[in-house]
Amino acid sequence: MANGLMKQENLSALLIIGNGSVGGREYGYYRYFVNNRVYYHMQAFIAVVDDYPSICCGSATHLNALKALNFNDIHMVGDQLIEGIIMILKTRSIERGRIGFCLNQMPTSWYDTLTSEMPGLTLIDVSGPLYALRAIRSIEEQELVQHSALLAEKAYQNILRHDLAGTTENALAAEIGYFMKYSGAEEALTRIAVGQPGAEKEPCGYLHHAANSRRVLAQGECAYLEIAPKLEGYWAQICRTIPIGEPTETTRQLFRIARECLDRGASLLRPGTTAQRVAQAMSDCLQAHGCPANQCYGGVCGIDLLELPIIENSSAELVDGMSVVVKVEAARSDNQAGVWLGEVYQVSPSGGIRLDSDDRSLISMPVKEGIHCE
Amino acid sequence: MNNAEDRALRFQAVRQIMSQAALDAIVVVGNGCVGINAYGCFRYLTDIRVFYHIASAVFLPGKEPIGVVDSKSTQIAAKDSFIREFRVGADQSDEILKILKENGSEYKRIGTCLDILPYSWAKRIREAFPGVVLTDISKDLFQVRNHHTQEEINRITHCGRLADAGYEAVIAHVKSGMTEQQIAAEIDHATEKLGAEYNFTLISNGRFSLKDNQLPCIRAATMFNQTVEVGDSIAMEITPRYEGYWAQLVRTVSVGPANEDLKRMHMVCNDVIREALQELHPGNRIGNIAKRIRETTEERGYLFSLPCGHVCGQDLNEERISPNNDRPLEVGMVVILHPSITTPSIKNGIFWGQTYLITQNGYKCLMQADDTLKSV
Repeated sequence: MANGLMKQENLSALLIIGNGSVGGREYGYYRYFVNNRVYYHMQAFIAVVDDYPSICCGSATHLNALKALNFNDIHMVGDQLIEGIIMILKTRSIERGRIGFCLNQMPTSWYDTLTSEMPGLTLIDVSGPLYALRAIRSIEEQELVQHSALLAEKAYQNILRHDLAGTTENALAAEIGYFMKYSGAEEALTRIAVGQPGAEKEPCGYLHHAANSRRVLAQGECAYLEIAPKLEGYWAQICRTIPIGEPTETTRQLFRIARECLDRGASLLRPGTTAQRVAQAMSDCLQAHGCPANQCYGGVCGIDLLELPIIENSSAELVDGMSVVVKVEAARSDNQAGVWLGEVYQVSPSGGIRLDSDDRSLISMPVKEGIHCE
Repeated sequence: MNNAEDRALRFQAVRQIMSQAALDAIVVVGNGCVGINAYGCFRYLTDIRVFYHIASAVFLPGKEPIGVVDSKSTQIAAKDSFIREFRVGADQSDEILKILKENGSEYKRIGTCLDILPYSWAKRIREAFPGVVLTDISKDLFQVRNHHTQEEINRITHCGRLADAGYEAVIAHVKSGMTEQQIAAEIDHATEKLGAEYNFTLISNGRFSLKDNQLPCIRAATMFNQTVEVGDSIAMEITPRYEGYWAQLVRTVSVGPANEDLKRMHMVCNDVIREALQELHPGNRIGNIAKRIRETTEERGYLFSLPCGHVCGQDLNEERISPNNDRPLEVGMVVILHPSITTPSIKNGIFWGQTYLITQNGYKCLMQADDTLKSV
């Protein structure tokens, strides 16, 4: 596919950089082509038209992994990666012409060094055409996302089996992360919020990474969870709200609204539908129940956790087989209560197909009397 | 960190760098990568942990810095950071340009960390302010970062205890039949329960032998994910990060009784580390540590190779301990020693080492784990 894209864009080579960040779609290009996890600093993949690719990495630990992936031209250059890239390009006589790269992913120092050392090269941003390739998911990729979605679901259900009495946010996050990693996740990103939101806050707006948070789950509060494992390179996510103690009627009502809104969005996950249309439908649903609209209703997930956001100003079109995290926060208009709900769907001609099997019921946690917030 | 003294100290350093380098502004960017000493600059100046995508901040002369993030939740999560004012925008470079334009129309020099700043952002800044020079201030900031305050030392010391907890979990829970990934999960769980915000756990597993070594170089567990069997050795880098600061404990354990080759290499490795400790005192060249490791390794008839350790702090690898590193050790610096000792017959030795704090009188080990070779 890289070869086809290079010919289509009239490129001599592609320079794809990978690092260990989690986020938007620019991070996944290296993993997409190389299938190697970058967990330290950066690595670079150089595809050459009609020829073998080269890889530049820093240490023996990555060298061995790349060899196991059957790459032959691997250059281990320590921390001198851009110098290594230039050496590879010169050795392979790629000193003139157009080279494709991803504008958002290249460090400024690398760009400046490359253009200064190799003035005959013209760097062309090919992020768009590259993502068009990634948007088409193979059956194997679809299965990997489903495995990841099922792991997220199991991590959530595992937490429901624990006695959370007196549990801190930190301990809760550690348990969720442990379950996912023990089950094979290469990364686990858990965000948590606990509490009854104040009027100035969005109920779920303060989801955070809970490391070192000693805040104790208290009676009458809700635990808002975003559980995201990455399994064999592919992300999925489940979002749930767990009331601590018996849920109030308001919480039950908001939960029903969140489910309805989620179903409304999921039903629109068909090839060709725009992210804008999905977001608009979910906003309309929330507002019809008197709840404020959300800014974002999730996004396409895959090698990156948020590849295309589901927002009202996005004209991006969904593609058959894509996986989408659809999530919603149904809150009271005064923001005094809220429910957070979401999961992964696969885009199909008949609408979104859920990739997990959780029954989405509102499950509360009993807690001991006398537990209070620190 | 929520520490007013550290905040004031760091902002004062920013002002000095701006003045000395004649900078009109500083734009720092942070991401979630682990590695070289440019990554920690953003955390150092803002105390914001970036676990998703990118965050940034703009420093202007005589003004409070402004944080730029892509969501309200990130802003709220950063409420206890050094930054008081935030701008939220899906495209952070838009917000950065707005801030710069609100505070002037001409910028001649802007300081930044060029190894972290995405080129797309640099391009926009250069287009918005023709003639502006983006100056790399990573080294200037690193010089400041080298002087650890007591608060920072406390955090690194605590991180050392977390690494101990990870090792104790291995001794307590690991048994044959587990996968490398499951062992890594035990390590991460033990440290995260105690507040570790991240773990850089590397592991490998196989039969160590001085003739036909099957113990590979350590790597992320999911890359090969082998199952542990009796007679194997498990090599580990246990590396938690606590409130922004790293520490590392490097250990190899036996599954069942240790083999003689492993015992021999363990003894050599500890001898070499003990000798190297004599070089850990303020004022000594960092390169002398590597030289001593090389000398003692070769005196014992083994081969020296790199890496043999690194300086850590807000980055895991702030600088390498290599023979040509002329920088001096100073009180409060944190050094990880893990010699790479091999023979002509093997590519990898065993993995062993720990983290040391440089003190007035020499050094202090930050781990309580002893030097004995353990079995699980």
